[in-house]
Amino acid sequence: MDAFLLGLESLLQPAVLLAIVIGSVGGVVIGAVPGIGPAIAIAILLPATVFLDDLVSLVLLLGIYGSSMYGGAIPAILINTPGTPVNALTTYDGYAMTRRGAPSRALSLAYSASFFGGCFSIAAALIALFAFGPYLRDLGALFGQRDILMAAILGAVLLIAAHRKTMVIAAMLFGFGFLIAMIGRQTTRKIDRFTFDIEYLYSGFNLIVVIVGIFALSQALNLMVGKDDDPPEARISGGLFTGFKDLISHKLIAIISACYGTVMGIIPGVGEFVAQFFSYSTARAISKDPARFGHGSPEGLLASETSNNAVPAAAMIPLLALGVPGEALTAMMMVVFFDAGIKPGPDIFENNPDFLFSLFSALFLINVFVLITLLFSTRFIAKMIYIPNRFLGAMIMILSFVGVYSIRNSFADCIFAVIFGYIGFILRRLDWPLVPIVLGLVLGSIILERLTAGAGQIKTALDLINRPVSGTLFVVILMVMGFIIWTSIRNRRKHFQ
Amino acid sequence: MKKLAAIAAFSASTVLSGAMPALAEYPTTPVQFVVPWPPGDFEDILTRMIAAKMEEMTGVSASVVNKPGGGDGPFPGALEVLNGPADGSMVGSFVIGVPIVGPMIDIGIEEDSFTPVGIFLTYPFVLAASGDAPYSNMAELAAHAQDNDVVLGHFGAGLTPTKASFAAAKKMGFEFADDSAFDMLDCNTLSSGDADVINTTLALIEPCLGEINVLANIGSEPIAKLSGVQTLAAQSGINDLELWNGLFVKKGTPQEVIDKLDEVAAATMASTEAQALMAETGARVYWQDMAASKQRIETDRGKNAELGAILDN
Amino acid sequence: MRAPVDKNNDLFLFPEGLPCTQAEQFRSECPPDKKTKVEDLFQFSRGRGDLHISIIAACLALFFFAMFFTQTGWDNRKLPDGVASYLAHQFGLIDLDGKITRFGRILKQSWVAPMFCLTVLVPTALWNLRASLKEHLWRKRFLLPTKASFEVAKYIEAFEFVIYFIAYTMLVPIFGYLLATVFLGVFLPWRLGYRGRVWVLRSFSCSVAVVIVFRTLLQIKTPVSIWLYDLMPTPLRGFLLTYF
Repeated sequence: MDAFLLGLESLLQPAVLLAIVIGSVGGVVIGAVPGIGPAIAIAILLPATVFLDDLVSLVLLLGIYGSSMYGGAIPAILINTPGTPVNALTTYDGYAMTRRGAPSRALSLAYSASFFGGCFSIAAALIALFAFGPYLRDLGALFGQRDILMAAILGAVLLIAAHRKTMVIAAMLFGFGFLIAMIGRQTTRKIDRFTFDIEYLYSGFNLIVVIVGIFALSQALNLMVGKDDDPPEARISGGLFTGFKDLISHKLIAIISACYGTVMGIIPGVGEFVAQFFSYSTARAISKDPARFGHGSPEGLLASETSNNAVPAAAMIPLLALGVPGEALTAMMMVVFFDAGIKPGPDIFENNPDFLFSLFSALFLINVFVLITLLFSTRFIAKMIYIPNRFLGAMIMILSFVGVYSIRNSFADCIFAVIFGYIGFILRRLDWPLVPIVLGLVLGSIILERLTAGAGQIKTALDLINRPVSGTLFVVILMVMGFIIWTSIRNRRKHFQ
Repeated sequence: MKKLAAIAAFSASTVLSGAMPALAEYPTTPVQFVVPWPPGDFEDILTRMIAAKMEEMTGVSASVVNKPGGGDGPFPGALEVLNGPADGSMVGSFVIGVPIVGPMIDIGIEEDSFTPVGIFLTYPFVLAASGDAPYSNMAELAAHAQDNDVVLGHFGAGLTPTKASFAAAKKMGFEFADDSAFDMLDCNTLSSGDADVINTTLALIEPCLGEINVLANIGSEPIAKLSGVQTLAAQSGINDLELWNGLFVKKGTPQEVIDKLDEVAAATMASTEAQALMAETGARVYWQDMAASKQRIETDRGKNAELGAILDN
Repeated sequence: MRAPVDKNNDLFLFPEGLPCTQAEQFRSECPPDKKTKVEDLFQFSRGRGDLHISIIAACLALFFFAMFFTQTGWDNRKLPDGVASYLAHQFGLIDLDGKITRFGRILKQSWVAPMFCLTVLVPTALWNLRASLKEHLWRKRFLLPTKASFEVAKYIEAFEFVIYFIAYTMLVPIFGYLLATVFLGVFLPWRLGYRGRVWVLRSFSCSVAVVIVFRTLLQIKTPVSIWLYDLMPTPLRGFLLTYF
């Protein structure tokens, strides 16, 4: 209990509260502008947060992450362009409602649905902490190096499985990410991989350089090379409070979607897309009015918005409990944890319980603040949609330098960032997934570190899996790999993959 | 750590007053203390105290940056200081391994790459095993290891405490079945079974001190806090090479920088908080200036060579 | 033929079933390519340029495979004699006498992880190349367009901006962060076509805002030896170095 109060106390500092405000409003704006998304903003801000206090930087990044999906619904509903890729399904029913002349109803429904989803997963996470927290310490003894190794491999396999039609490409890009993680030289451990005797490569590639390149710079190039959209004017009239009534009248779908979002968030590698897809399909299946889905069904809008906002809080759980990030954004936040001296892993409940409470309470405050802000300033935020794409691209390019140089005071880092940006740009144009490269880098470094640390106790190959946790995870890995192989064989029957 | 308000106020006052300090005295630009380990351990805490004291005494912002080297120990962080400017804006807080082991591995550190400003900490480094291990001192470990596999966990193969452990093992006639380098060695490492014996500092195993067996401590005297634990040197017959941490600057840094840092650090070590740390944790906190440190480094080079000789035979 | 109207449930302003008049035939409120469908979310089809990039990816993978034998410590490997019997023993198939090397000692060697990585990378790169080739040949067979010249033109266009970024990176230690950012911030939108006083003013204020927020307030690190600042008198130099 005093951990809770201590957590609240560290939350109520002016700097942290300011970070909540900036993070929420910034996150909404970033989500609302179709060219940029939370990944880019977090990639750019990440190195700058090293210079800020730990809780402040974490809250700022979380604010951006958690509120971007609120903002992303705005253009999705008003002009049929998702503000962030995960709002894609919102366009389906949201824009249809706008065409029928009820954009404010759609917007208020989206906000209340997101709020419900966010609060649901935060509450679930807090309950889990209260209930299982004290046992986590004993569980900590179960999680050794080999277990986390298996968890990381499982995360990798799940990530690849989640890319249903592009599994081979995702696997290949994951392999490249892993390769990048391996480059480096550690003389004390007699490790030298792919350095080609080039001095810059001795310390390997820094994660932030790759992230800023692949997410931010690639989008900057993509925007600058593309053309400016000419979004039609959107008019919002009327109050934004009607959505709450809709939320209450469709309680069941809301709860089911929130559950989907929470569960999918916890499973590493899955993420908002799949959560949305499943909850939308389920909502359509159990709805009394399935024909309206796609033509302005409030249930469809509710389903997609609730589930995608339930993911952020839940996605923090595998990161905090195991130290294995499930998706790219949480992987980036892991860097902030390490800078703050907080080691994510099973003993986090014992070592830093107040931090956990601060984190989730901050998320809750962010959701509340965003909702209140949006109810009164949607019109203003909607104007942000009209920032021309290519100008945005130029600004992103300028912002990217900010972070990359700060990391190691190295120009070579900047050059490599832009090389990765170019690679990311090519991948975007081909519609290939970007996340596997970044997660290949992150999970790859985890796998490497845990393998070398755990190797001491490995006498025979069976020692890798004869612990309870690593054994179970290994079985799950085999099951998922079986699923992957089965799906690819099924896909081969069609013409192309 | 920075506070936005303080920076804004400072910059506002500077602009408003329209005058900059006319003295080109060190420090004029922000100072960074590089700690090449993850945060939380003694050297991190003490370096943060030094940075805070520096801010207090000079008004210039001083911060601590952690640059853990993963499996490579303190060397990547040390290389960063080496590649930085020689004007006192980057100060390294390094362990004995950097000036002594660094020149022996081929990474670009020479014996004179760094000038010591002073040494301020001796770690309470220990060899610890889990509470249900069937040995509680080195002799019992030696006996047990004859027929069973014992795995050592350490912070890096070339580092001084690791070498001391291996040399002690050799002298006492047993061998570790295998060893692993870790980034962090704490209670969880022992309780999850990742290693049977670990080579770590007291701060990291503080939470479970009552439940584990401390086999020996690496240093010249036993630690007051741990009753009944003898030094590794006494138990195995190797020399009493200690693990210390000191402040270093790049070779060629002006003497006034070193003098200023000396002043700040000496004041920090004499402060009540630093002394309280010593009393609570078993670490030894003191201040040896540049001359004394240089002398000590040379002596320790000799001791290290001796350990190396034991391992090579 | 009118579509049935449900007056009770719909906010109904645009009747979809009405026939179009001649004048309205080609007007669309919602451009077809922007309408997202649920099934489309996971749809993937290989675009132009896919074959070229797949070939490059496969070549890269094979390059690293070739380099594996020299660059990863493979030549310094320490494997027990009789690897096959050792592996068989590890998986519990046969029993060996004598001192058996611990598996961990092998796993710790530097070439192990690259080996696992390459066993994932090389087959998937080749499989991807094969799929891409099949698609390409299928399209050629049905006389569908396969030229990638548009894509390649876009790649070259993007390369120009890469050059600008590198030039910016090189300008910072010469002119300092503030000036270099303002240069890039004003030049780039101008190059992209945002001309006119209003736009130049906007670009200028945005770049100055970026410098103020990140350099002056947050104090992120920028190069410490800047030619232009070194020309300034000392007090000004210190101020500029700290805040700009």
